[in-house]
Amino acid sequence: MTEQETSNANWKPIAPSALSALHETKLAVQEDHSVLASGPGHETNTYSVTVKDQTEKLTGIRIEVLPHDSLPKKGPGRAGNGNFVISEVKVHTVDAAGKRTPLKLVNAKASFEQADGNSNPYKGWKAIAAIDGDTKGATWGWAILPQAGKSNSWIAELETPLQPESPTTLVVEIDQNHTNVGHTLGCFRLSVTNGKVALDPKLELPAEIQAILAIDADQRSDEQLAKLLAHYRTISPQLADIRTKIETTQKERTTTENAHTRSTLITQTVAPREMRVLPRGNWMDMSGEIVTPNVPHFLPSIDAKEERINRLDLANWLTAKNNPLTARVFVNRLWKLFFGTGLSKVLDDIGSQGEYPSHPELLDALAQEFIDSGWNIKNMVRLIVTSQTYQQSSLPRPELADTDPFNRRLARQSRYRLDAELIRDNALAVSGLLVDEIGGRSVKPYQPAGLLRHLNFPRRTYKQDTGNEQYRRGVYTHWQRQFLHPAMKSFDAPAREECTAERPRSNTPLAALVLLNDPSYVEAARVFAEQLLSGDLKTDEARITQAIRQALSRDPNAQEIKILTSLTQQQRNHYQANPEAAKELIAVGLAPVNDSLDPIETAALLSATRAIMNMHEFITRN
Amino acid sequence: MNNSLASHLCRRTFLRQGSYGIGAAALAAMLDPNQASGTEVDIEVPEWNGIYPVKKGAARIKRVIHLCMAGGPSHLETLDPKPELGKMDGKPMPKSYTEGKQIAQLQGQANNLKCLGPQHEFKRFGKSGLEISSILPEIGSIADDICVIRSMQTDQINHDPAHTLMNTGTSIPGRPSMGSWLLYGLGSECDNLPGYVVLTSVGGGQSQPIAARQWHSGFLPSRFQGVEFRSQGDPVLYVNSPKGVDLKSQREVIRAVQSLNDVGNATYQDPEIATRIAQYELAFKMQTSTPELMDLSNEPQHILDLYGTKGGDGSFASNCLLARRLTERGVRFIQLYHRGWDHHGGINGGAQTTAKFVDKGTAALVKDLKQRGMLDETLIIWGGEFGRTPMAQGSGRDHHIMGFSCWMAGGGIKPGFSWGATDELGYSAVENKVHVHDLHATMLHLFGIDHKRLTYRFQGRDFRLTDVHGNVVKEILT
Repeated sequence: MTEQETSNANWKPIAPSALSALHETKLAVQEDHSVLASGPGHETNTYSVTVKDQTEKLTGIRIEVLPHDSLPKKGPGRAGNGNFVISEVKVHTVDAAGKRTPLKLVNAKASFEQADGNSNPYKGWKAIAAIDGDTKGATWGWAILPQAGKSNSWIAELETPLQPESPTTLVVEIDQNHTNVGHTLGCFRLSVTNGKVALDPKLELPAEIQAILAIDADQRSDEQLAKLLAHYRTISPQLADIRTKIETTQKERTTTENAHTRSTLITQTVAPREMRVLPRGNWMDMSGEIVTPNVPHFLPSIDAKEERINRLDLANWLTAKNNPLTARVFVNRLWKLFFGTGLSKVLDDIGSQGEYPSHPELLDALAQEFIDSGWNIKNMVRLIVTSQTYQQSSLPRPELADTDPFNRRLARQSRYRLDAELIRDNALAVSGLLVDEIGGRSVKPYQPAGLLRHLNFPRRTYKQDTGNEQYRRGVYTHWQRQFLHPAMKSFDAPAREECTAERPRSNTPLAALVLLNDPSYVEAARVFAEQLLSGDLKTDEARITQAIRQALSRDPNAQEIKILTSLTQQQRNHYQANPEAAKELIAVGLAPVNDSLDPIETAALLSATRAIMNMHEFITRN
Repeated sequence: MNNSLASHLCRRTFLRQGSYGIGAAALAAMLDPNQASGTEVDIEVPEWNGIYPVKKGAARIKRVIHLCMAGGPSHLETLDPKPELGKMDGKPMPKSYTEGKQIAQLQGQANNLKCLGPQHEFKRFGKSGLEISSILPEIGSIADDICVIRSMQTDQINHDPAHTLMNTGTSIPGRPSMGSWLLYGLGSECDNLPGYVVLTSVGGGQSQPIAARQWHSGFLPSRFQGVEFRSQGDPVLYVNSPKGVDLKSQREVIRAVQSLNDVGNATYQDPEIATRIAQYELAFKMQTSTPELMDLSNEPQHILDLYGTKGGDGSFASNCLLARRLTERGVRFIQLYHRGWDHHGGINGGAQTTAKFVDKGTAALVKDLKQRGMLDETLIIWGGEFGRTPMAQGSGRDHHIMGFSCWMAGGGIKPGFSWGATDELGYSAVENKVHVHDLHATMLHLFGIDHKRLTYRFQGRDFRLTDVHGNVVKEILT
């Protein structure tokens, strides 16, 4: 620090004897010899500073540009952003006879130079542009953005030092001819030196630190010393390594933090918005009655601790002991998950417009149990899956076909198609590819190119994931709200534009195309086939038996074995004749191919596993 | 009628009509080595014939082709001649027109609105003398076949909600689009392609995004959703077999799936299995019929010339030709989006450029359908989600909903006719206003459907395409 304090060049601020501006602007000398511009600004300007009776040797000049409260963004320029452009600095002497002698300036430097692009001949707003004789155009010069509100300095040497024999008048002219109008100087100070012409690092220090440095070392208070040391730690070369380390760590922290999706859990508004009834929904019509939060009047009334009902009141009302509706709606939806249909079929409307429950007492008992268990969902799941009703076989009973065609009385279990996400999970699980990690970001499975091309502002790109991310559960699939992954959309995953209590279960050719041709399913079938071929099973029949057991949790019957062994043989013949096609087929997907297996055998058995994975039973909860 | 019951009964009917027999045929074919390849399994698709009982003779049309000029074409440069606006060019827009009205991007300039005169001359075309902009000469050549509506109004001033209103009758996302309503109400007439097909193209202006909700089935079952046919990659998602699987191998795998499902059905007797078998059959048919449909190489040169396309390039003209081919194959609802009409700036050249992209293909489609005798059983709707302001937005025009234009042609529509009018500056529809809901009601009417009676119960209420609105515009009907 001591070194820094003493290495300063010997600059001496000078008090101007006279000031003038080419265009009407008021220039005034301040106490610290700085010059402040005020009054009418002008598009361009030239300030002339005259210093009389210069007797000392002169080796260089310095222009400090200084912040001032009266300037836009505190200056030092008068442009709206606090900037200026010094396009040229010219110095000359005037002798007693009025004869002007120009002094040539060289080696211009500045404490900071504004960056710029290729249109600028200097690729930046450089100090040297202010002594180039405007050879590259009068508009270019020195500027300092984004250092508005800060001190900076510009220095230049005299090519030949001035050695006045008698008192001499010195004139410094500062041209500000930038084409972007109004980029003139607001506050500056002129200094001269008779020694080394160098930048003064002290000048780049904050004003507060400069002030502390001006105090004698033994006179500085503890607080001042602490501030000084704190600042020193930010610039000390010895601490550079540590500073880099801190910076890197902080960057990592920011990156890590930004990698997580944030969601707002609680917001507090200061004053609730005024809400009005909008006549026929017209939000521009403000004539409607002002309304406050409440529940529909046909429902039990809501108690509020304060005058205005808030969300806590609503939560308490929803879950009040004497309000059976919430629990009833919830257990009805839970029931649907395990039996395919709710006890009351219309999940999103359990009121009088919905359907009267098939088993009202059961619905009430379950709702009461749910409330009594402290809204314990796991408890309800256990209760349902351990029931005899749940554990029945789903095989049809012909005697019920006429009396209960939709199985509402549950004399057997129901059969229904799995939801979109589970169809994917099931295929991946059977093949052994599934990564059942919980949590984390959304993942991007294979998707046809160009699916998102109708989006704009911004255009979207889709980059499929690699590695484990490719095999994560369906719930983690990236959700492009308007352009759902086709495998999700084809199996009725909602677009999330409407609250969807119940998804339809469609059965479409598009769904068939997904299971047949989506690379995710082809890959799963291949890995499944490789797995069967790698074991001890020697015959097609043994492998197919194992495949059905693994995929459908039951033994195959004779017909199924015959269909699949015959398919496998047929495809084996086909791929023996077309070995390249076999290689192409097994190369689908990112999962590494098991090279120890014969591609023809893999392709042949893959046809059988593909067929199994396209069976209705494979995507059905039995 | 309860909807799910309807679909269930439909499947049950299918079962009674002998799905066992069909499945057995599949199995027999599978197990008989002589039939193992090349023999088509005879499986009947269980048809969805719709829930709406159309009265005999009430239907004037069988299908709709919606040529959606996405982005909001300016009525003042296309279909609505406004000489008075030309005289006001550059002058302040009278406040009496604009005060209290909704404006999109010109909001901040409400006190400095200036008129922008029509940028292109209008001409009288055909015997009817319909006035159409000179930038649409080909559409001019079919003037005697079309009915121009110059008094359209909508409620939504931004692209996405306005499209949503145009397609679903409301700006609230999540409702079924008109094509889905039609499939739900009437079913489809084709057995190897989806009943609702969407094609898109771009060119001539800023490409506003198009959301898949525009052809979504909303709360209706997803079998009624529109299927997008793509000009690049698989024409339909996953319609091509995996790499290394030729059509014959694919056929064999599908046949095995069918046989396995049939064996399963013997045990489970689940009507969904029969549907599944049928849908796999349709999927396979799509695998063969879609490439055939998209392949325009067998179209004669004079037809390619008529449309002004080499075909298969994803252009609007190529899509128009595909629309004709879809029409021939019985597709119920065909929607062509051309994203390129959002001319906030430079509308003079912009509208002209976009017009060139769509003019010839549009006219060719009408002529081609006419010469094949299919125009009078088809409804063609040409128009955007809204119009554009008579006021300048720089050198362009802003979004505008108080008045815009569209045209219709085909079965039951008065040809060479115009209906409704905007005020003399083209700001508001003032005469015989036609709201989007009225357009929907009229379209359904042409199918023999009372728009108030085609409903679906969701979240406790009966929904309609026209919600609680809509009047049939009888005056434009023959």
